[in-house]
Amino acid sequence: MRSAEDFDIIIGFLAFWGLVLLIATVWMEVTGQQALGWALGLLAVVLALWGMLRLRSKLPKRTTRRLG
Amino acid sequence: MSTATASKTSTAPAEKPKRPFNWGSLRTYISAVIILIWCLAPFYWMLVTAFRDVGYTFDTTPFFTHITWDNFATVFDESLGNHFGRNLLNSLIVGAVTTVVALLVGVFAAYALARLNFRFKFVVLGFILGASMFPGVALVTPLFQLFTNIGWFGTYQALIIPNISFVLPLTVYTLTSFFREMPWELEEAARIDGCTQGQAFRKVILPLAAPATFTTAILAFIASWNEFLIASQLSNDSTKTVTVAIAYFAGAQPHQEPYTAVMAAGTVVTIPLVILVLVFQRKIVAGLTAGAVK
Repeated sequence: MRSAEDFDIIIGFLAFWGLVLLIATVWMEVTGQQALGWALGLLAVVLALWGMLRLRSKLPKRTTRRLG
Repeated sequence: MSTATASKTSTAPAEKPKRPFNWGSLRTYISAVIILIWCLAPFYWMLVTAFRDVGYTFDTTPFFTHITWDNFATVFDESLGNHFGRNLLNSLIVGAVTTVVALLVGVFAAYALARLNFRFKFVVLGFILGASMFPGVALVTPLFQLFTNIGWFGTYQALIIPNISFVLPLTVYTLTSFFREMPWELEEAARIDGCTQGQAFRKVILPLAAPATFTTAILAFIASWNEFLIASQLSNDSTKTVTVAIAYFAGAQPHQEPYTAVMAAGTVVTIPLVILVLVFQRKIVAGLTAGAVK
């Protein structure tokens, strides 16, 4: 099930950047700096991540053992 | 006489039918030459300037003229404040340790990601891909603060640890794609012969993965050897690497940028990489093409 692996890689990629943006947003907010840009970036990544997770859940379940 | 004529006739080469000129191969050759010139021209110009007398630094003659070894002497002249030998050693230490650690961790991580079944393993791979794209410049200030606070500023570990984090994603990603292409049957055969999974990995998979490991090691070493950003901020005089040393190079003349000496230093820095690639050329090619065809 190749496409599921690709979806997982994209989800991991987006999750990493989501985490980075979350930390940056919280840090900017806590230190009283302008955080709107970071928060909007985080929103975009979270929406993309949600979309990918939805698409991923619609894929058929794997029934065979993954080779390699 | 007639016999001689007959033998002559029989030995005359038969005329080959003329093949039409292959424009496609000509295009290939021209493209190859253009790419070669494009890639080697900066290196050639570096060599030409490195061997040119300092008085003719801005001479634009594209050939070797006013040849001298003085620039190389300037590079290693400690009275000018350059400690290039020391810098070379520092680069070697940082590059070697980074490569060894990155490979040790990377081989196991790549094997686990390619061969073991666990949840979210491709999510982890995506996470690693994301980490590999993290801009290094964003880390310089926090790392500088952190290493200053814990007293690591100007130490080898301050250069090696960030380098490992930059090189590790490359290592894991390259090795994962290689391990995934290796036939499962080899490992299964080893298991049937009585090996544990660890033994199968150590005695069967790892030796077969040697070309890819060599290729990855060389790529990791080159990446570490050429690293400038972190080293320029976190090293001091005793741990300065060559890339940083060249940026702050002092020439024989005060108030004058020593371009010829910088080019000579660049040549010296390039030599270890060229030797490394030439020595392991076969393994690199085997590693790069490994898994290309199933």
